[in-house]
Amino acid sequence: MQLVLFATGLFLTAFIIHLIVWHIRLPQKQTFTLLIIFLGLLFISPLFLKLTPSLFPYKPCGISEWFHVVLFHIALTLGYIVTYSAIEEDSPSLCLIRYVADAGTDGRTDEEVRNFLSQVPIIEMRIEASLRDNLIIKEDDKYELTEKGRRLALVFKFTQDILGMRTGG
Amino acid sequence: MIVNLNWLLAMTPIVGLTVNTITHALFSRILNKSSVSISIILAFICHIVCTVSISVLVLNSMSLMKGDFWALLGFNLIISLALAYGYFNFINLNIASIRIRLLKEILISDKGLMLDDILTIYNPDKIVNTRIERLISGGQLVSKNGRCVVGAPFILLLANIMEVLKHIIMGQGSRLGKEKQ
Repeated sequence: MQLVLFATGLFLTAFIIHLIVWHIRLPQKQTFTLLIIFLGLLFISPLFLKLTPSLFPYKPCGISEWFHVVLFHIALTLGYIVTYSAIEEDSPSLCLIRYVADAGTDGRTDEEVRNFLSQVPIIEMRIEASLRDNLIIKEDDKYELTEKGRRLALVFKFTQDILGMRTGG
Repeated sequence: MIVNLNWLLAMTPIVGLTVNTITHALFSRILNKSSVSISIILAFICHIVCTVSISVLVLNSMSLMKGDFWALLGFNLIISLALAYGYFNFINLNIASIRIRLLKEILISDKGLMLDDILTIYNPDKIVNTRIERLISGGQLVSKNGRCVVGAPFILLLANIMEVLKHIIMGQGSRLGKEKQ
C-alpha cells in the first residue's frame, strides 16, 4: 500500500508543479519542460526522501520496488504527454464535435461542417511544426528530412510495414 | 523468493505490453487491413487479461493483506492502461497523423518535396473530406438529410473533458471556431 501511495503522491506532486509553472509562465518548449518536471522529480525523489523523515514509512524497499515506482511514473508521464499534445494544440475533430453539439438536435449543415474545418490551414501548420521541431528543413524551396526526421519516419514506416497497415494521415 | 516475486510483479505490465504488441502484429496480419480497430481492441484485451492474470497469481503467492492485494493489483492495472494508451497513440499516429504521413512522403520521395508537391498529395479539400469521412465511418458524427449531428455521446464527453483540461492547464479554451460561432 505504501508503495502505491508513494508513487501516486510523486506523480501528483509533479502534476501540481507543472500546473504552477504553467500558470506563472507558459514555457516555449512545453513538452520538453514537462519531461524535465516529471522525470526530474523522479530523479531527485530518493534524495528528497532522505531529507524528509516523515516520508520514511512510504520509502520503496529495494530495487524491485523502485523499479515499480519508476515504471508507474514513466508510464503515466508518457500517457499524460500524449494527452497534453491534444491540450496544447486545438484538435480540429474534437472542436468540430463541440461545434456540431452546440447546434442541438438540429445539428449543422454539411456546408457548415466543411466551412468549420476549412478555416484551419492544416498542412501549413504541420509543416511549420515540423520545421520548428527540426524534423525537416527547407532548402531551395524543397522540404527535406533532417537526420532526426529521417529516423522518426523510418520508425513509423517500419511499424506500418510490420503491421501491414495502409498509409494513413 | 519474496524478492523474485516483487520483481515479477513489477515486470508484469511490461510483459502485458509485449503481449499487446505481438498479438497486435498477429491480429493485423490475420485480419484484413480494413479492421485496424478490431486488431487494436483484441490486442488490448490480451494485454489486460495477461497483466491481471499474472498479477493475481503473483499477489496470491505473496500472502498479503486484502487491502495491499487490491492496491497492488490496481497499481499494475493503471500502469498497464497507461502503457496501452501510449501504444495505441503510437499506432494511431501511423493511421491519423498528417505530420507523420508528411515525413513518410518526404522519405519515399528521396529528393525532398516542394510545397506544391505536398499540396498535390494533400489538398485542403481532400483533408476536410478525409476527416469528415473518418468521423462518420467511426460513428462520431451522423449525417442525415444533409445535416450532421453527434453520433457518439462518448466522443462529446471526451471533447468536453479536453476543453475543461484546457481551461485548467492553459487557462483558456479552444480558439478554433470561436470566430465562426
